[in-house]
Amino acid sequence: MKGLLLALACSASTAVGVTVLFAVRDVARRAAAMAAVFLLSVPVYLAAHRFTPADLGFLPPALVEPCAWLDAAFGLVVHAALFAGGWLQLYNLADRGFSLRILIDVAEAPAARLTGEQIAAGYGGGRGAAWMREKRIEGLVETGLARWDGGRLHVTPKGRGVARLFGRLRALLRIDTRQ
Amino acid sequence: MSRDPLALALVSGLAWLGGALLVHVVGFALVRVERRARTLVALFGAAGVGHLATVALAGVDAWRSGYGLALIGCGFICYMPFFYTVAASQSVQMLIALAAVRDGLPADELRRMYAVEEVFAGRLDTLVGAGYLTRTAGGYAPTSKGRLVAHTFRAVKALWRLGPGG
Repeated sequence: MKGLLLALACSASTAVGVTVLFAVRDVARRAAAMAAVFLLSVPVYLAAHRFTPADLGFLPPALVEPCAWLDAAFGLVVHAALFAGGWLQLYNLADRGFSLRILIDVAEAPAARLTGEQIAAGYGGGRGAAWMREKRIEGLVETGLARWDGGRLHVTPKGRGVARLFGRLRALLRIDTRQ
Repeated sequence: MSRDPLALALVSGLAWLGGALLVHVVGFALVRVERRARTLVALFGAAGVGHLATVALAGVDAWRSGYGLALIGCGFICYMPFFYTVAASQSVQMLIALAAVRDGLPADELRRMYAVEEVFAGRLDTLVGAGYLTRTAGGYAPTSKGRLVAHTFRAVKALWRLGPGG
């Protein structure tokens, strides 16, 4: 139980740290900044697990784990999962979510009602639907997966490897529909 | 195997998590699944039930049984975003299309292949199907569930000072 409680505390602290960081500084690479905050919290978690009493001063004996390293490892897995599958995904959805942006646009419309054409035209705070596609093309170039050459977009060796991996996964899982 | 109840619960949770992922990969490879998200949720749910039955048979207490369940939950929250990247990411689909051609693609061709009208229509169908939007005479309107999600994420965007996004 100690590992789980410390993991929950560290996860909450990570979220607070990220919120404070984003509030006080203009962060260009937010996902990397979030990962840095999480990585800083890992030694704090490990130190807290190592140097606090097994019962944290209040846990009943039945909830004290006899195998301290297993308890610590379980807590670390929970902390990492809450970050990677929780806080980081919350950020990804809030900052990049395509469907979520559509939903927010419709919900914030004056009459809370929009036609398909209005949604496309007003997408991304009025930038329009084409911006969504351009942003993704730009993202491929910025992350080194593709490059412009002579007016054509080419996949880089790194991009080819990623494409091969995802292509195989999509084929294996029989995903061939564009969504 | 150790008789430590925590170790038993975690081994059970891990085994059922691995089983759910295996059934997912093999099942999706053999059968074309239309409702992928629901199927995945059902698979992880079944893994949770299987884990609880296993630890009950092994005589593990309720607290430690919950740890195994938490492990399955951790697997779920980490796997679902990865699966959606594979299944629905526009960037991934563009990259695969680019890798399939020898000399790259001109911007116009790329724009033609990824016609935003088609992509938008698909996403609107998905949002309606998932119960976040409803079709009305005047277009699309948010359901109460959709409004709740939109307002929650709007608050997150404001708190973290994120741009319009999308």
